[in-house]
Amino acid sequence: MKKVFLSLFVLMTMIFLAACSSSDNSSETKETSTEPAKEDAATAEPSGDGEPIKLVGIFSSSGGAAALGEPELETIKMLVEEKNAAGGINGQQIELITYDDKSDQNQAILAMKKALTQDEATVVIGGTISGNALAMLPLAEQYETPYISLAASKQVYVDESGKARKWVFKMPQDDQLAVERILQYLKEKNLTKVAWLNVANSYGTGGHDEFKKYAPEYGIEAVIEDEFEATVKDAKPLLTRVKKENPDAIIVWGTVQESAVVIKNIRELALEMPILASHGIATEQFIEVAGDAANDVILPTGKLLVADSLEDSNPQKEVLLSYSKQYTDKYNKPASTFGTYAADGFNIAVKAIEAKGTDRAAIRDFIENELGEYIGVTGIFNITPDNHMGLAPDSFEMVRIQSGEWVLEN
Amino acid sequence: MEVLSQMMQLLFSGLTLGAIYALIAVGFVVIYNVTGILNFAQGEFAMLGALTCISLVNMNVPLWLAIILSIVIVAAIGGIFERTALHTARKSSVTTLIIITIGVSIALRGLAILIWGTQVQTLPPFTDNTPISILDAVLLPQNIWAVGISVVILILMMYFFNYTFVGKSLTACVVNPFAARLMGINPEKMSLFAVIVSAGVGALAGTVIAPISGATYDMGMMLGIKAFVAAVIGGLTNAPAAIAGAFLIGILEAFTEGLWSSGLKDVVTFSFLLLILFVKPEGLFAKASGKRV
Repeated sequence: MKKVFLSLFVLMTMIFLAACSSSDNSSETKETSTEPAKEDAATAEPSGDGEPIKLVGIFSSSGGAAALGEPELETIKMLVEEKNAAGGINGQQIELITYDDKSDQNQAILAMKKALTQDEATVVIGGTISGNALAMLPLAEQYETPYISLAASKQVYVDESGKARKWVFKMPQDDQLAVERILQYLKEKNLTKVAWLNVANSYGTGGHDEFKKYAPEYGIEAVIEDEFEATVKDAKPLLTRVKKENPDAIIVWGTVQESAVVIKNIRELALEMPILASHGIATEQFIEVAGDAANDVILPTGKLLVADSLEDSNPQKEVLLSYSKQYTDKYNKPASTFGTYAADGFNIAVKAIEAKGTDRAAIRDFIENELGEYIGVTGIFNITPDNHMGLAPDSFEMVRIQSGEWVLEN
Repeated sequence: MEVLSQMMQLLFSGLTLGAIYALIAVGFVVIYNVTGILNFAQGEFAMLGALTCISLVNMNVPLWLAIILSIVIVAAIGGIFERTALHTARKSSVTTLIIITIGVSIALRGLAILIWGTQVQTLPPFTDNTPISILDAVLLPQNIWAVGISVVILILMMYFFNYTFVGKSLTACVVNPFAARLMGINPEKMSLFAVIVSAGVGALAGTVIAPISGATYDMGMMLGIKAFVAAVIGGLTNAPAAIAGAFLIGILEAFTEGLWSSGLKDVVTFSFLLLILFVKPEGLFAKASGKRV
């Protein structure tokens, strides 16, 4: 009997550890240093009158989220350099200070504190992952400094009571917009009976909640809704039930690895209906992992992937192409969607400073009330007092994967 | 007909899952048999095997050679692990040693992040992976490989533990280390041997799984848990029984997911484990003997 309890105890310990390790995905690299490393101070001395323009960037340029934070950091550096070379803002050079939060919330808070107290930032841009952005934003509110977040979670700019946070603006789209974009597409194609499958974690259930909320609005009905694990090995048992229901389309809502397994399984079972996936798989890596099974998967994604094939009349086309060219010329690698968030954040901050100088409250009010329609790289922003993100579902394009390429789907 | 094909499909999926769990469960049993330790770094061996193999393939090493090399490399890592972490602490209690293996598993995961990062990577299937259709249910050649390899390992283990001198010596070490020593068997050498063998089998498991579900630094944990459950259900001291337990768990999971709901899969598995532990704690297939789990 003692052994029974020992076995159970050990099992519980393992489950506990497994839970820890999977929830720790975004911050697995913990550094021992207690201070966030100051990477790059004072690009140029302020030359104009009055307060210097201090732009602080806090990115996860190393650690688990480095793939996201790096292009953000590079983009900001590139744009500040360019702006300063062209004479700065109203004749005043921008002083850029950047910190690496190492994908760790504690480091992010320390960096934010330094930015607000020691550096006396005019505007803070950053917070690569939602956890870090959420940790940083109370400080921005406390020190009344405009903070432009690059993390995706809706909670970043909406507080518990559903109101917009006063000093925080957010550049990336909400996940909800991707769900709505998929629903729009299904409606257009008259695919009304669908199967909804999501990964069993917060990303998956978040998407599912949005789906349940908006599907009726678009006249879409789920004939089967179920979950698969993030560590799924074989989803065929689940798919046999999907097969029985014979839906018009299958929505697979997850990130790269698990979506690849499920989509491969759908192909193996020779289910013929269209497969829609989340924007979470819009990376080359998905194509690599899923191989041939990736073909004909349809998903919403930011416009950067398909910038070349957009209609010439699309107001974003020029912005997208020029950003992507500038980035590729400078860093000799393809531009990433994450960099576009930083570009939009920077450009909006510049517009506000151009109009209002370095007064923090005036900058905040300008972004909220006077910015108007702003054509950004990520999408067309319409920031209002109630909506500090300001993007619509049309900031996503539906693309189809065809022999390893992203093709605009109409 | 439709029901029949669905049942076939669920059976195929269950066998595949079972085969994956089985290969890891064998490692648990081999080490437990010899040292009395539950090695929680077992899943990590599979992870290391898979990722090493992928790296080798990316360096243009032929697949079959990459598999063999990664088994050898991981077996060597297993050997180092035994000598440095377990051997030096061999006078400590079993519980201490178990905690050490948990520590090692965390360390190995950390190492894997440093080397391979957090991105998922994939390995090409062993052979052409065109699905084979049987009664409207599909079976992939890679799944056949998975099942085939565990059946071969099952037979090898049965033969090894029952009919070879080394295998018998290994068993002797756990039944009575003192008596084994009197008979001229060196339990310390046997412990090293056991860890090397199970690390190698674990690495093989990893290379089998990688083409099916991809490989990441954290794949070992969940594999370890399921394999542990399988091993306990089958009977921890008996490799063939653990493999049978693994197939049972795999099939149980597939049918729960296919006929009921995927969310209930783990509930059913772990409830089954509890039931077994209370009703037949020595394991479903273990011969009634004085030894208990």
